[in-house]
Amino acid sequence: MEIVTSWMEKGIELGWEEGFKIGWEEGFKLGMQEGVELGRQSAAATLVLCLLQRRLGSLSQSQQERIQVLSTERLEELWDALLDFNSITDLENRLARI
Amino acid sequence: MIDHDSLFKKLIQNFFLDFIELFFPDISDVLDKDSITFLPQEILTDVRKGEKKIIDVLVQAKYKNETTLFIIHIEHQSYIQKDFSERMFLYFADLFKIYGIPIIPIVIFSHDAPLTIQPSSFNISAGTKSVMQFDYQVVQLNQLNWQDFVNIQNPVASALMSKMKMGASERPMVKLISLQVLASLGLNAAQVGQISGFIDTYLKLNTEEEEVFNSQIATIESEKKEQVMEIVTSWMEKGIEKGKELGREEGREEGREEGREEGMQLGMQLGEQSGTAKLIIHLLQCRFGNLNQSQQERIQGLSAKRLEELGEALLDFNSITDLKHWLARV
Repeated sequence: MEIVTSWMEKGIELGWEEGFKIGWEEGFKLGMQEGVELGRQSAAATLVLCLLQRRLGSLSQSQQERIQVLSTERLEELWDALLDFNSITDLENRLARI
Repeated sequence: MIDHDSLFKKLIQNFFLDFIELFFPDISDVLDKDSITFLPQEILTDVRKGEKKIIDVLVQAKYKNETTLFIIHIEHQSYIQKDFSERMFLYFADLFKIYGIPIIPIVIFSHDAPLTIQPSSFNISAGTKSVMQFDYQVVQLNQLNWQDFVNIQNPVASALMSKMKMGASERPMVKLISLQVLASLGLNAAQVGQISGFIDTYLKLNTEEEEVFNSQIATIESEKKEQVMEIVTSWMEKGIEKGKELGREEGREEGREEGREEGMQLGMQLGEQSGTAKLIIHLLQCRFGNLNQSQQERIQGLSAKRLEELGEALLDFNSITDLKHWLARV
């Protein structure tokens, strides 16, 4: 067990804020990157789903769910491919290959 | 939660000779300093399974040329169990059975109250016949006056002063004096850290006491003051490092959360924008055939607002030239 003296506690208080600021910046940067990626993915998923339903009629719950979890890159590929889809089967075939 | 056991045990283990010298000078004089061996505790748990252990430090050393066992128990409880001296005797007897050598049992009572003198022997008698008297050495800290130790150059004295009898108003002074004694001993940094940690644990000052401490430290001679401040500062620095570490961890978490929220919004905007751009490129390609790479890139680089404008404008485009003109204007 490590002793924490009253002097150390004072030091902890003093150092905490500085550490917090540094950590916050680091965390914010990281969170921003993660958030942007998530946002892009979610926007892309919404659009792709919208386009697919326009073209092929409504999709089943499970088909929608499978599309919602695709990465942004996969969604873009799907987007490019969907212009050639004529039926749900084309979509199923495509999803099976991902 | 203060781990009294570990604080005391480490103090006695690391400064065993100083401890003996301080409280048992007669033993210290005839103790072979090079013969000291600390024995593992496991021996005792084997002896009395399931029972709370009583021996805290077990040392074997040559005392008057005879191998002797020192058992040092630290008792923190402020109420003393009735059977305490009996238990001391039983453990003593168990150890004697195993080792068969002279044993010196020592008990340190560390509680603050009550001030009543604790027993130092266990007697067995039958009827009027006294059968046995078992004596053990007692160091009862709350019976000792800290004033008697201020001039003793001994690390254990500087540490244990914090647990001796003192008036409430004396606490800041005792803390300062213990630290002064400690600073004057010429110990290494780890030892100073250990003992100053001990002192501070048992003499945690409130704000008022802290003020008294600070005004008293201002009056002592500058060299000594610096030595004491050095101890305080090194703890403080350790704390600052720890604080930075803790703050950073928490900051990272909070920052990350906020960053994610903001990033998510930005990402959605970007995603929608690039989706719109893609749609518009598709539409244009349907009408006018393939766009070249640079035209596509121009469109992908447009702001959301411009894309919306383009979406409307393209309804009136008749040829790719109209697009070129439009792009040239934005």
